[in-house]
Amino acid sequence: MLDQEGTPELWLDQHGSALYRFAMTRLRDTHKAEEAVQDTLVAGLQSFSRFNGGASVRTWLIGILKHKIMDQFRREAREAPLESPDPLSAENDFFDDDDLFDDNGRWREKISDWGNPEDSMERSQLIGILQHCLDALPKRMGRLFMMREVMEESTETICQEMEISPANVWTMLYRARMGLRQCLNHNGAGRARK
Amino acid sequence: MSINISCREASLLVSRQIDQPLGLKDRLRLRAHLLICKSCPIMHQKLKVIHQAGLKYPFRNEAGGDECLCLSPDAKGRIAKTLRHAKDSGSTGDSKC
Repeated sequence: MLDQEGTPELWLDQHGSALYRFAMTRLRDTHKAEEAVQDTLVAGLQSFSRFNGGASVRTWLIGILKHKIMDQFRREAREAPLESPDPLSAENDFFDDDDLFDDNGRWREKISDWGNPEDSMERSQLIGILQHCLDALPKRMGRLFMMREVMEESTETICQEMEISPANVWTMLYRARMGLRQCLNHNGAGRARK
Repeated sequence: MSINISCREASLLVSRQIDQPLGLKDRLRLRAHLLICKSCPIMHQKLKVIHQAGLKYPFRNEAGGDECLCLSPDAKGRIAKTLRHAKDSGSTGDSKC
């Protein structure tokens, strides 16, 4: 029997919007976020007997929601079309090492300093540009970056979830980061605030 | 073993270091490279900024302002209905629709 703390209607009232915000900032899609919140509350209802009360209800629900979001990322990353069986080659068009390095592995361009972007621009501005740049990444690469850097999953977990080798995960993360760096450069990261 | 690595190899190691601790050999190689190279320490810093930004990313309000990012009453209604349905069909773990 569910006591007062355990009525899903109450969870929806008290934590629904917090869960939705958490899902929305990661999934960036109202329908997917709503679905994730719903799945979380249903799963919570089904597993409430295992909730030991050690954490707050919200923390417990957020924990369930994280799994639901990871499921969604995994589905999206797997469904992303691959032109080739090699999980890396589809992303080659987006980012090519050879554009950055000469035959001796030296930088072709001069790497200029961003300074501390937190000093030179509003934090929300930096995050805003990052959001834009993440959307511009190839889907699998973007999802992988989200899993690793935003959801803070270990590379081991990502290897299992995505069924790719650690070497491929590292290479894809490397390319995602280098791509984001270029994109942030083009969009004015580190430029002095006016 | 050769201690000399190229900027290309160094930036791969810088990225990998964000994901897991490097082995001794790679750590020494990277450190040596960062001492003698002008560009790679800047790259190192930039990848750290991206890493930090990723961690802060979730806290940005999608709307960008003070506007509340909340469940709409419609969405709440739909979810409440599903919950009632799930409850009625028993909370034993069956997720039949």
